[in-house]
Amino acid sequence: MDANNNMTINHAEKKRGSWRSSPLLWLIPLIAVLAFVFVYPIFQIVRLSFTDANLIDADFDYTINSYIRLFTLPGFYQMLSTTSFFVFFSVVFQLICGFFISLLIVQGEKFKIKGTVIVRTAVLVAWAVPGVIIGIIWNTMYNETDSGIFNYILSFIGMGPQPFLSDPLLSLLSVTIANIWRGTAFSMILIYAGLQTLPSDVIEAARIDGANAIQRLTRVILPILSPILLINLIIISIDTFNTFDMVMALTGGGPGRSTEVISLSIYNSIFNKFNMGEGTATAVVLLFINVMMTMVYLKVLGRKDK
Amino acid sequence: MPLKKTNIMIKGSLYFSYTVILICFLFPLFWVVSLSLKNRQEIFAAPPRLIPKEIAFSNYAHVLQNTSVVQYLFNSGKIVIATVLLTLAIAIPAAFALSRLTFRWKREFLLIILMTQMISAVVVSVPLYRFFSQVGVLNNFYVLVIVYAAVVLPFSTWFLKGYLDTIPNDLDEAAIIDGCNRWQTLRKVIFPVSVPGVASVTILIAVQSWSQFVVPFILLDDSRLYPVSVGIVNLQSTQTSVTTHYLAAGSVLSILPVIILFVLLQRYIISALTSGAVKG
Amino acid sequence: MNKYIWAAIICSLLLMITGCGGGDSGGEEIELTWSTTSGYSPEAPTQAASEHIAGKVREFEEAYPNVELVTEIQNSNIDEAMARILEQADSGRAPDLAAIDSYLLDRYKDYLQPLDDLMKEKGMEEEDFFPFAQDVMKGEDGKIYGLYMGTDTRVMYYNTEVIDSPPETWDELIETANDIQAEGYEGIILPGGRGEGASVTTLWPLFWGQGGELVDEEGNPTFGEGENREKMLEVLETMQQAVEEGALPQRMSSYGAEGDLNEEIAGGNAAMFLGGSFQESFLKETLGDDFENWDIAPLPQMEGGEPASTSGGWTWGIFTEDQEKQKAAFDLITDTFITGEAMDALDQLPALSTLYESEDYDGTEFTEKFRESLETEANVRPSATSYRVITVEMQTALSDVIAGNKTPEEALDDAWEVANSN
Repeated sequence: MDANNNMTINHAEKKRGSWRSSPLLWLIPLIAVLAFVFVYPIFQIVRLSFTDANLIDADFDYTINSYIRLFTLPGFYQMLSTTSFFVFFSVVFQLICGFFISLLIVQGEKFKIKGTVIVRTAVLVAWAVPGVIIGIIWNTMYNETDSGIFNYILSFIGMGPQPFLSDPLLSLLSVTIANIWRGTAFSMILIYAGLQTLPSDVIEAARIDGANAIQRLTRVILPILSPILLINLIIISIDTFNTFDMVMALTGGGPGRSTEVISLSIYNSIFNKFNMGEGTATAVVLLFINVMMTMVYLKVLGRKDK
Repeated sequence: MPLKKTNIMIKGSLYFSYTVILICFLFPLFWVVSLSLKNRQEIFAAPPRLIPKEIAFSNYAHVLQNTSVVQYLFNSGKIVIATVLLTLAIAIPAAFALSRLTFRWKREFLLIILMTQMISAVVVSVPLYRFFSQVGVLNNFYVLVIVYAAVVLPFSTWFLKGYLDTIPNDLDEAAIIDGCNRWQTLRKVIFPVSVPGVASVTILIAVQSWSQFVVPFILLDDSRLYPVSVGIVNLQSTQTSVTTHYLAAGSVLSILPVIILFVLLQRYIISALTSGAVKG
Repeated sequence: MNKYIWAAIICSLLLMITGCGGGDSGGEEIELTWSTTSGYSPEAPTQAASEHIAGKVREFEEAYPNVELVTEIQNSNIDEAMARILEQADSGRAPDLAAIDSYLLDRYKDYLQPLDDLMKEKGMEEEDFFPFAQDVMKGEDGKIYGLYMGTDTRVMYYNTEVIDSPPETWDELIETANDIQAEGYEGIILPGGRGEGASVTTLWPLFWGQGGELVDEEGNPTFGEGENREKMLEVLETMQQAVEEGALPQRMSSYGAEGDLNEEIAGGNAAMFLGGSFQESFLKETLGDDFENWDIAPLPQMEGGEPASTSGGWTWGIFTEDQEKQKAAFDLITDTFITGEAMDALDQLPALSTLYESEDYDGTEFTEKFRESLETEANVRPSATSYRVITVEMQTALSDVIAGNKTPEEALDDAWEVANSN
């Protein structure tokens, strides 16, 4: 193998640019790990989704019932709409908050204001807190008894106690807000990085042309940033679709199924109802969503290449 | 003169918005610290107090003595370090090949890697649990780290490939003329100039692995191996006793190391992330 | 410069990884793995429990110097933890000894070792246990496969200063709740969310009290058809009525476990709540002197319903076939958990009727009443496989009704559709 390697290299030395030899050696570890952790399990998931397997019993038969059940039983479409609400609002507000915070930080840096570092770090720290702990912390803040801090704060502006975690819609909103808090940092970093690459002469030119701040933002900054914003959007959408640790710790999916997002539903089917078939069928649905998102991502990347 | 006035106004409004942002982002952390220092009566006092009347450090003593939080933290540290090393060891050569070599199916290969990035860890963890249990490698540290690495490998590879693409090919060619083989080129020429990229990907891997929940939650049966993200769940709610204050203390202990690290290294983290992100 | 910093960091990190291998010392030591919940381990959240167990474990280690005790703490999600142990047993990786939720014990009997001989050696009799416990412990072959450690039951706690005579029916309960709310107290406090506590405290006693059956003899769900459906619907309709009349706060829909109510109780505005026998010590600790005013009563029933409650509790099962390990394991559980002292420390009720008279069992204020509840009205949950789906779906239905998300009829029909098509 060694000799072989040397030969190609000697060859390469003579002929510059003929790097066409096999890339396999460089890629084998990567291929092996990904095949082991993704390809085999996906094959299994799809197989199990066509069975009536139970987490406990070893025997199972092949059937398509899990899918029929999934699509006809109550709860599936509620779960999808819950997930969509959660993902849509999380993503939109993470982007908006991330954008404005990074804009404010860049402005602050321009004016050499002290405190930009503190703001940056504070937002970043939220990003490094594990999801379960975020769920626990927000759960204590949303506490609906008289010792709950949010309701106490609201009482000063006369907005009586709110059922943050026991009203179907409000609980979904509560979960989404906690998720926005968690995810804003990632968008902030990406956009902050993007803002620093903005050619300052272009903005200066716009200013001289008489564009006001809003016009500069919408006509100059946003168009330049749009590729980064799109990539950001897709990454956080996928992340949010796959989230469940925080929701599990915050509401456990309740009340009823009001906050049961798709990943949590997979977990509950398998580990609470012991229903492998239903859980894996839901997992295949999530997989399908993941693949669709990838397609969108590729379309966007393709456009960027052009 | 009017310029100065607008400057002051801008600065003032900037400071105002900073304050708002800081309150929004620090309040939950402040609240959990406050809870962790309250005694049982004060936890349920209505109305709630922002700052406890009596500071109860004993909560921390209880948590440190009676729970395995320290062990969990240590486990997390071990897993994160091993994951970072393994991921880099696999991703750097792969990224180098993907950036420098031309071969058939390269585009397709890149797409497949990207596709795996999109797949939820919940989807793959359940079959892996069954498989590991059959083969008898459940609760094996090295196998766990391989799964952790697999979760972060796709984006690490893409990220590093993107970074290497920005390094001019001239460097490689000069190295080859000097008689380096490809491996030596990577090690002696390319790696040293890509340290910022490697640094930012390291941070991303570390943060992701630190917060990773699904993989250890499903793949580990043995509580002695739990990372802190999973271990903390066991502290949450038990039947006989109110444990909110202990839970808060445990939470603070488990986020403290990361916060300290972030505050100390924030300058490097930001510059690594931004330089890496833009090029990547 | 940068390069060196990174090199130094990576080196020190490498050291950290390799530095914690830990040496195995050889010898004739045997390893005894016991899988337990965090509440029944030295990590138990209450001082009394953790001190008791840690102390007993130390004694055990002194008595068996050749046994290395390996403690595995189960996941706090009981269902998941139980599923895992079954899965481990199925693939031959079971711990030597495990705590198993009593109502699930039946499913483990294929993998568990009979304990009759070990019991005889200790002088323990099957008849010492409550009848419901005997049923749980015994396999089809008449042998004992699990040892009941402690049990519990569900009751209504109330403050006698506020409530003169405890309500016996739900109509009275709603009325009482409205009365005490006028005095500034909370109304009905009960677990009404997604969690096993809601099933065993709120749903099943009312359903069973009317003679309802969750499953038939083959273990197929029956709760949503015929008379059973009427009875279950009645339960959910009562909950809805209680919410509509302002007696039952909507936020109960987010409490899945009995222990989740503790924060309400500690808040000081509770004058009554439905909960588990194990909450007495919490109540006592939290209320201090005021505890004197508190008493318990049977769970309020539907009009004309029989008294009914749910009892649960944990059992110990031995998986190892190694005789020496079995003996050590049996000693560990009997000395640590099946004594009067242990029951006091763990806030559990003895499942052995003989232990109540034992000298080292102090009991509590309410022990006699709890014992009566266990003897007269306690039911255990069905061990059928379908129970998992039934309980998850019905908790969700209850939570939906209390949160106002669904009508009782919708909620029940949805739950039935899922459970019955399984």
